[in-house]
Order: sequence, then structure tokens, then C-alpha cells
Amino acid sequence: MNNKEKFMRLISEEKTSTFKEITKRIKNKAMLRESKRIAFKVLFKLEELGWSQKRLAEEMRVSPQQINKIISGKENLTIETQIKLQVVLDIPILASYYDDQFRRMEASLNFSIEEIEFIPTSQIIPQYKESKTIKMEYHKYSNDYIYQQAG
Amino acid sequence: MKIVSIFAPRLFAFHYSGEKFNELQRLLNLWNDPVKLMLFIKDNRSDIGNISDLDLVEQLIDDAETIDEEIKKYKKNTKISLNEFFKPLVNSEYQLVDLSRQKKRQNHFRLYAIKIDDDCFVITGGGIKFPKVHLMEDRAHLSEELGKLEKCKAFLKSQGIFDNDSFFEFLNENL
Repeated sequence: MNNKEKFMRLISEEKTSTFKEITKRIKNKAMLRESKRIAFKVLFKLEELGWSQKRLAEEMRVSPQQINKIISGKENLTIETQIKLQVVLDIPILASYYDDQFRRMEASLNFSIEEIEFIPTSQIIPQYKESKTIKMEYHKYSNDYIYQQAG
Repeated sequence: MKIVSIFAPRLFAFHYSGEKFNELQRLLNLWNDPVKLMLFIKDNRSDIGNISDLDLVEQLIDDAETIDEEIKKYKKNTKISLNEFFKPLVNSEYQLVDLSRQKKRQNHFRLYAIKIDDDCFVITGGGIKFPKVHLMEDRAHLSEELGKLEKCKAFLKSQGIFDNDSFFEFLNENL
């Protein structure tokens, strides 16, 4: 038996702690990815605002330990925590961030997207004469926009 | 210093005195830690190049995941040699090798290892290499890794390790 075979017999089938950590990260890959993304968004925003982690804890009314967990990029954050981060730091974390922004925009413009009618470009900018006009309509069944030549 | 198994008999790592973790675990901990990566980004912003912070972060997250998956793949499939995982850095008595992916985009993370024999490597250290850094010697954190490589070479020589058989003989004596 050579030294390599002897070594393999002596150590048996061991899973080192390093390899166990790797396996655990792979198993929780999707959650860890999102947790890291949120952690980075928080860290960049804190840098931009010049806030310490302690200040963030005070603004969010949570413990400093909770902030440590958030920025560790390893936590499966609750929706409640994500909402607090989104509101306090004004950073996009949940889908609601852009939905809410869109609704605020609609409200300030006093019309909804469904009410927009087809307006030829030449009526908006008289000096331009369109060579081709495309009409875009939202098709609710395909959840997509249909483009067709207008006129 | 000691040598620990990551997955025997093919991948090992040095564990330096005074360090809590072996080099591979130390690096993987760093590369999966947003706080530590953020500090690194701040200190080395001039090396990043023309990419937004969030795009860089996406790449770093992607790179860390890929390294985990690659290590698992090589452990699982003994038919794929680790010679494909590590690419030669410098040819010397002990081949120094550098992990890098053969892809359009270069992985930012580097693992350095000494090749003991065919399909048998010991990780000596690693680091983060941003696009604008061309040579390891140009940055202190990377040239430190060259220093570690030399120390490890000297260690292996002092223990009479020069091939697979002498390597496993050493490990058997130090179990």
C-alpha cells in the first residue's frame, strides 16, 4: 500500500467543515443571493447618506445586532424588515417600491395609462413629420404590448 | 503551519499559525461577506474600472457562487482533473497556479495553490484582483500572496515534500 492509499484509509470519508460550508451555501444559494444584494444596497446607501450602522438602527427602531445581521448577507430577512429598509433608506428592495413610485407618478399626472390615446407625433411636435407611426397597445391577455403601424 | 484536507486526496489548503481558518475557508468567508467586500471596494475603487457599484456587486456575488459550485463539482467528479481548475501562474520547481475562469469575463477572485503532483494541489492563499490591476506585484494585498507562496514552497522543501508519495507520507506522519 503506498502512502496515498494509507492516508485515504486513515482519514476515511471525511467532510471537512470548509466543504460543509460550501454545500450549505449552495443549498441556500437563492436566499443568500438576495440577502447579499440587500446587504450591499444598504451598505452603499449608508455610505451615500454618511450614516453609521448605529444611526440606521435608531431610524429603523431596531437593535444594532439586527443591523449586523442585515448587512451580513446571510439572513433570510422578513418582509417587515425589508419594508422598513425600503422606507427608511428609500432603496428598492421589494416589488412594491416601483409599483408605489408608478402610482405616485400616475396620481401626480392625473391620468392612468389606460386613458392615453394615440396622438400623432406631428400634433405634439409640429415641425417633425413622422415617416412611420407605430401604435402601442397593452394587451391584457398576453400581458405584453402589441406594436402595429398606425394610420 | 499545517496542511488540511479540503477533499482528499486532491485538494488541500495551508492553515497558517495564528489564523482561525485554513486559507480556503478564510477566503470564502471574505468573498461571501458584504461588509468586508465593501471595505475592499472602497480601498481599491481606482482599480475597478468603468462599472457601476451595483454591477460590480452582482459580479462578485456571481463569482463567489461559481467558486463554491466549481469546488463541489471537482469533489464530486473525480474524472475531471484539478489541473483544469488551476491555470499555471509561473513554472517552477513547484508549479504555482492561479484559479481563473476561461470565460468572457474574468472572475475577480483568485486562489493560489502549489501543485504537488498531477491532480493534487495545496491552496496557499488568494485575493481579489480588479480589472485595472495587471501584475500581482503592483498591489500590496496581492504581492503578499506571492510572499506566502514562497513561504509554502520553503516549508514543503524543508519537509522533504516533492511529489505525491512524499506529500502523503508527510500527511500520514502528521495526522
